[in-house]
Amino acid sequence: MATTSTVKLRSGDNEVFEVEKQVMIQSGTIRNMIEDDAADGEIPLQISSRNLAKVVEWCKCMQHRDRNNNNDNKEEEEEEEEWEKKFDEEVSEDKDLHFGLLLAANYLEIPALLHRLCQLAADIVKGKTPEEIRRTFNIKKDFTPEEEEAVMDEHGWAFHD
Amino acid sequence: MSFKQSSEPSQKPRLQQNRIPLKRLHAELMTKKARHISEDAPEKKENLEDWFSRFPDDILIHIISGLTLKEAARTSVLSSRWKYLWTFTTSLDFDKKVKYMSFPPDYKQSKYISWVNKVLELHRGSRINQFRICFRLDAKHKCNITNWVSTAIAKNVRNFELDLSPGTYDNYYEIPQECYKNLQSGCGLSGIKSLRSLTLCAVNVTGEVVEFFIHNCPLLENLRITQSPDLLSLKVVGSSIPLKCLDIQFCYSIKEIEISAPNLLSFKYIGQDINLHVGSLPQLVDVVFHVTPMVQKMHCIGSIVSYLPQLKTLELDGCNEVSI
Repeated sequence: MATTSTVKLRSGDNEVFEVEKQVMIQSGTIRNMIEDDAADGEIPLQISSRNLAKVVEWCKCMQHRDRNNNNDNKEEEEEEEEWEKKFDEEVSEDKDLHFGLLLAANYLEIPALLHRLCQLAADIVKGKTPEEIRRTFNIKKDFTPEEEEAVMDEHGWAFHD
Repeated sequence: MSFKQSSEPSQKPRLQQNRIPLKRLHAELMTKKARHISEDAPEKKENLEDWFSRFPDDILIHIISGLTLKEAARTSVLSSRWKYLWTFTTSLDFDKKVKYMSFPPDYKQSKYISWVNKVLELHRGSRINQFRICFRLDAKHKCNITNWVSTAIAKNVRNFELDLSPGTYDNYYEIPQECYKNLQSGCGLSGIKSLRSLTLCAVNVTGEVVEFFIHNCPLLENLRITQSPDLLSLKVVGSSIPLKCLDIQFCYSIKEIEISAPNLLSFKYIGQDINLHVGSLPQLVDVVFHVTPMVQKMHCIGSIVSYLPQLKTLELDGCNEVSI
């Protein structure tokens, strides 16, 4: 049976984070381990301490927000919005962090965080030409000019108009 | 078992070839919750690598779903991996209201219809979050529209919007009887179970059809009906109705509405003065009544007056006097 109210997460670079279970059940992966009573020791995660710290911070903020959803505290609400805005900015400007978090959110199964990060990635893609997208994300074009032409023809409505 | 036979010169091209599949494997392992994947170590070295190659297709599709259809389809040209990923997008938002302004209506409509058909023909995802038709169409285009409705339902749509406004007076599209019958059968019924939000604009629906959706979609929270001449009365009554927002506008034959829904937060009505019967609405906080054409005395507000203490906003328009 569950003995403590916290879980210990060990990052890939051996930093240990002790976090309330209530916060970490937002992660499907951790929640399953808690339910299976497999979360009493340290949980080793192949996520860097920098990324793991960010994930934990995000989970704390969301849990705090959900708990306070019912009492109309304008000041706290603004604080949370400010935090989220800063989170978005920080992630959008730092590709290492953004993509590390995407992999972490996918691995830890945190749908809301994954959705947020995917939306931020989509925002980066928006308004860019295919060449700009390739450059931004280092996507290697493996089409011959003829193949590229054929793909563009097939999706004419998206490229012309 | 020995497969390390290859000599030096042949190893190089092989390595090259292996690069992408290996990375895919890496991404797949990641989704299968493999424990020992080094996430950060290669990151530093691979700064010049394809960022997305480490992600499973699911994540890329999730990202693509945050784009407009046009932007999504343009990703097809990025690389061979991306070529058909966009066809799994969960967001089919066919918004082209302002397009083809300078062309005659028939031409615009046929362009729009062939665009929607082309995309639906290519689309391979089995679940969609959003399906939105937004173009002036009417009963002339019945076959196409009915096909779209069936496709959206077959793909378990969550947010469905069929906005054909302004439509054509006396020739609005209506969901055909056979389509409605299909909805009531097991297959159609399971397709609408995922519906969270339903908007029908310039689509002719009866109260019976609207009530069918209300009672058969266990997740339906938002319902908006505008410009439906056959909507004569509407009964939104039931202790387990999940509906949170109800919005009825410009349905000029409607005479009465009865609502009693435990989860309803907001109710908006724009149209002629009607008989409104209100039962239990414990969560109601926002109400909008806009009576048009304007009347001397508004009657419809009458029964909502007992909810005044719990309301956060009440907007009234179109009368000189409110009769309670």
